[in-house]
This record gives sequence, C-alpha cells and structure tokens, in this order.
Amino acid sequence: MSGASVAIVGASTAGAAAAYALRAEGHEGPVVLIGAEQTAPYERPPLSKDVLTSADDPQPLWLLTPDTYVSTNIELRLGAAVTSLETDGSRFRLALADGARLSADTVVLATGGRARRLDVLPADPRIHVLRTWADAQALRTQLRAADRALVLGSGLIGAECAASASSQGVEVEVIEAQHVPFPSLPSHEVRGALLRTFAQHGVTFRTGVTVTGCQAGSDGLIVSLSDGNVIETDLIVIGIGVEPMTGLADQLGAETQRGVLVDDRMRTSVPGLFAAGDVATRRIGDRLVRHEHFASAQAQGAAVARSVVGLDPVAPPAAWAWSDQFTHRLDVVGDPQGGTERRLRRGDDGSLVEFSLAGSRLVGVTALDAHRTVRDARRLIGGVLRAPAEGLEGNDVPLKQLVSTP
Amino acid sequence: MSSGQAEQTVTVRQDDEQHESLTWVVACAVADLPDGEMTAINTEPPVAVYNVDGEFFSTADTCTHMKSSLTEGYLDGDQVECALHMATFCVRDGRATALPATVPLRTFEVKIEDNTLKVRLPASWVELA
Ligand SMILES: Cc1cc2nc3c(=O)[nH]c(=O)nc-3n(C[C@H](O)[C@H](O)[C@H](O)COP(=O)(O)OP(=O)(O)OC[C@H]3O[C@@H](n4cnc5c(N)ncnc54)[C@H](O)[C@@H]3O)c2cc1C
Ligand code: FES
Repeated sequence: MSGASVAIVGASTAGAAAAYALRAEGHEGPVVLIGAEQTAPYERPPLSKDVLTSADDPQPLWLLTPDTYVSTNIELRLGAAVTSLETDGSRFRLALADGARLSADTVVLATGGRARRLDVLPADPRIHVLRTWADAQALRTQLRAADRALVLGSGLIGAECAASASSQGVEVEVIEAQHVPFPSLPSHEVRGALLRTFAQHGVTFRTGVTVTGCQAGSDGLIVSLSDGNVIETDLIVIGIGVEPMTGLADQLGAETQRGVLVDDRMRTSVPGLFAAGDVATRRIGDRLVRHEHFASAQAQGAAVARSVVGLDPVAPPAAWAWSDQFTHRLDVVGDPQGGTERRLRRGDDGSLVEFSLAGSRLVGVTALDAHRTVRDARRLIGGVLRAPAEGLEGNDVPLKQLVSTP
Repeated sequence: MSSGQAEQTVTVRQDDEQHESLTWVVACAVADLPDGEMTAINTEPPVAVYNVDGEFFSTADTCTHMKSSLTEGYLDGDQVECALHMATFCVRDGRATALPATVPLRTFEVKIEDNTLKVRLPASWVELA
C-alpha cells in the first residue's frame, strides 16, 4: 500500500493533519492535498478571535510550515475545488475547477463544512458569515469602521464574534432563536456566568426571536424580527451553524448521515474512499457522532492516515471543544449531554466546572476558566468515580484522585 | 502558493541560527529548580529550563503552535504540555510529540557551575531583555 497515491480533498485542519500523518507513518506514495481556498492550510480558531481584534495586520497561522510541504513531499494544490469524483472500482478520477484532472488509488474527503446562510437575508457585503480567511478579512475591515453589529446565533462562533466585536468598541446585539443564550453550552451555571460577562461589556441579547427580513439601505441595514421589532445596524454576522460538504460523497453514492458516514477506520461505504473532520459522521459503538472542533478534526486526520497505511485504529481521544470569549476560556470535554446527573465545582478563583455523570461514570465536563481540571478530564472521561459524587464538588481535590483512568 | 512570505521568514531564521553569537546566561540556582519543575527565564523571547529527574534541559518557552508560554503548562517526565491546546514537546530535543504542534522547539545547551544552572542563548535574546 505504501506506494499508492493518495488524494486528500480539502486543505484545512483534517486534510493537513492527514497529509502530515501519512508521511509520519511512513507512506511513500504520492500525496496531493487539494484545497478550494487560495490560502495554504491555516488555523481557523483565530479567525473569530485575534484576527478580528489585533491592532496589527493579521497573518494566517499556518497549520504546517511552508517548508514542510517541500521536505515531506506533499503536493499542495490551492484555489482548485474538486468538482467531480468518479471511480471504476479500483482508481479514482478527480476533476478540478481549474480544468486539471488527477487520478488516485485512495481519496480522503476532508471537505469540512460551509457556514449556513439565511434565505431571508439579501446578498449584501455588510452581511457576513465567518468560515475562511477571506471571510475574516472582510469582517475585520468592516468592524473597524462600524458602530453597531448584529450577530445572529450564540453558538461558539457567534459568541466569539460578539465578544471580539464588543472588545473593539462596537455596540453588539445578539439574536438567538432559542430561548436561552449560548444554547449549545450544556451547563446552566456556565451559561449564566458567561452572560454576566457579556452584559458587563454591554452586549445585549434577544432570545426566542428570529430574523424575518432585512432592508439594505445606504447608511445601514434595517432588520425585522419575528416579534415585530425592527433593528438598525451597520453589519450582520450570521453564526447559525455549519453544513457538511458531502457533495462529492453523494456523487459516488457513499452513505451519509448528516455527514459522510465512516467506520472506526474512517472508511466510507465506498472502497478506497475515506473521510475525516467536520464532514465525517463516525459510528462509535452504537452512536453516530459528528464533531465540529479543531482537536477532533486533527485527530481524525491522523486516524485516517493510520488507516490508509494499514495500521490498527487507536481509540479516539475524548471530544474536546474550546472557545475564548472576552477573557474567559470555555471548554467542553466528552459528551455532557450523555449524563443523567450533574455536579458543580466552583473555584475560589471564579472558575466553574460542571461534571456530567452517567451512573458512576464521568461522561462530560463543561468548564469556565479551569485549565487543570480540563486537562485531567480529557484523560479521565469514561472513567468511574472512586468516591461518592459529592467529592467532585470539592474545589481543591485533583480530579485524578476522584476518577479512575478509563 | 500564497505562502511565499512565510517561506522567507523560515529561511531567514535558519540563517540567523547559523551565524548568531551565543552567550552563557545564568538561569537560576540549581536548588531553585527541583525535580519535575520548570521555569521561564526573562529573555526576549523567553526561554524555559526543566529539571527531569535531576537532568537539566532548556528550550524556547514559546509554544510553536500559537505562542503560549510552555512553563504555564505541565511537565510530565521529559514531555512539556502546552496549557492552551495541549500540544506536547520532548524537552530533550525539542521534538513536537503531539498535535496541534508540528514545529519543533529550539533547544539550548545547559551546564551547571557553582550550583547555578547556565544556558547558552543567542546574545540578541539577552540584550533585548
Ligand atoms: C471562525 C472559527 C473559529 C473556530 N474556533 C474554534 C475553537 O476555538 N475551538 C475549536 O475546537 N474549534 C474551533 N473551530 C472549528 C474548527 O476550526 C473546525 O472544526 C475545523 O477547522 C474543521 O476542519 P476540517 O478540515 O474538517 O474542515 P474545514 O476546516 O471546514 O476545511 C475544509 C476545507 O475543504 C475545502 N473544500 C471543501 N470542498 C472542497 C472541494 N470540493 N474541493 C477542494 N476543497 C474543498 C474548504 O474550502 C475548506 O478549506 C472554529 C471554526 C471557525 C470557522
Ligand atoms: S499554543 Fe500551545 S498548543 Fe496551541
């Protein structure tokens, strides 16, 4: 297998990790990393944080240094979306938007997701989504000149954009369709603490309402809401989630379940076709799991490489998403929704940790400003309590002493 | 490729390393750095020193992922783990041993003299501090 050619479609977190890991695992055949964006693979997390707030002109943070592509012989093809993917059962043929055609023995889909848009909004340069470097540049430029911004959605990206805009002195209002702010955060206490910080910075929330229309005027956008209210703003950021890019998998008839379905070796239902990252829905035990987090996309990139070179899978690490909002650090580890009982730990330093338990097993952690506990939790998710659950509330006891290693 | 700019920075740094002058600097008293501990010294950029079971090592303190201070993280045997996104590096040779980091840390020579730990650093890192 080690002389086989591998085409990785999607040159971002999962794709770059896959290419890097293929070489680290000793794959010798050609590796081509194909990306629709013009920019070499870069970190997305800073796009909603430092890229929006830094005083200096931001530069992309590369996932791999430019010399890595040369030294490890990874062919990088940028600015060229794969438009068609076919197979004759043994080799794949790829057509690129720039007219090029390639063939490969193995294809890895790392096409990620695209930011969802809202049909009721017109096409207007003041209405933004945030997924790419180009998106971030456009938003950054306009934020510098804006007085008011409206953020639609208070998931991680919406909340980060709201915090970043507010810390730039922009007056920010957040519209959340659900009835609580930050609905994806599985802890009432953590949501509350976060909301207090946003309120202190003057960010206002409207929950349980949706946008029903928008008129683009020359000196602002006039947005109408489902409750009859009308808001005027200088720009809009839409942060209402991601749509997995499953189009190429569909062309080959690979099975999908919201994302491209893969087994524990990252294999799709089409032989030779693999998937990893935000686009992949993994079957883990009897559950179907699709993540939209950096660490998971990287781990899946490494896992797909192991599989392509024929190594046995290693157990995936506990899920982990982090977010930075104002000076807070948020972490969600494991699957907090999978618990039946919750325990809260309040630190003297203002930190908050909510442990989620299924019986005596630790299944998830939601944490605010609690680095050390999060670090331990990433290793202990799935472990069993050694002592009564109340012990978790004790602020000064390291988690390692309370939960056995899974 | 749109990465020409960064490519240049990388080359310049390598050239620099070959031609720059190095100088021995006192990091700390040996007694102040017990087994399993690490500390940063106040150069610009900062440098970390580690005590791994009585053996001393030194690397740049700045994580090659997103520039967090490694001494804010955790030292586990000869592996230092960054607090921000949990990349790990081997402090013996600077190798990046877990994602998200892929770029190694620069390492520095150490020696012990008169019960003090000394590290050999680029002179320019010390002058700026
Ligand atoms: C603004 C922002 C902030 C974030 N912050 C955090 C954070 O703080 N913490 C965290 O854990 N996660 C964060 N994330 C999530 C994390 O960045 C993603 O989970 C991760 O990037 C997913 O990686 P991926 O490679 O699977 O997909 P993507 O990063 O979506 O990359 C897919 C790539 O494939 C390309 N592509 C798609 N179709 C084709 C095609 N047909 N041909 C060629 N190329 C194609 C796309 O152009 C894209 O470049 C953030 C995401 C964003 C957008
Ligand atoms: S800054 Fe060190 S792991 Fe990200």
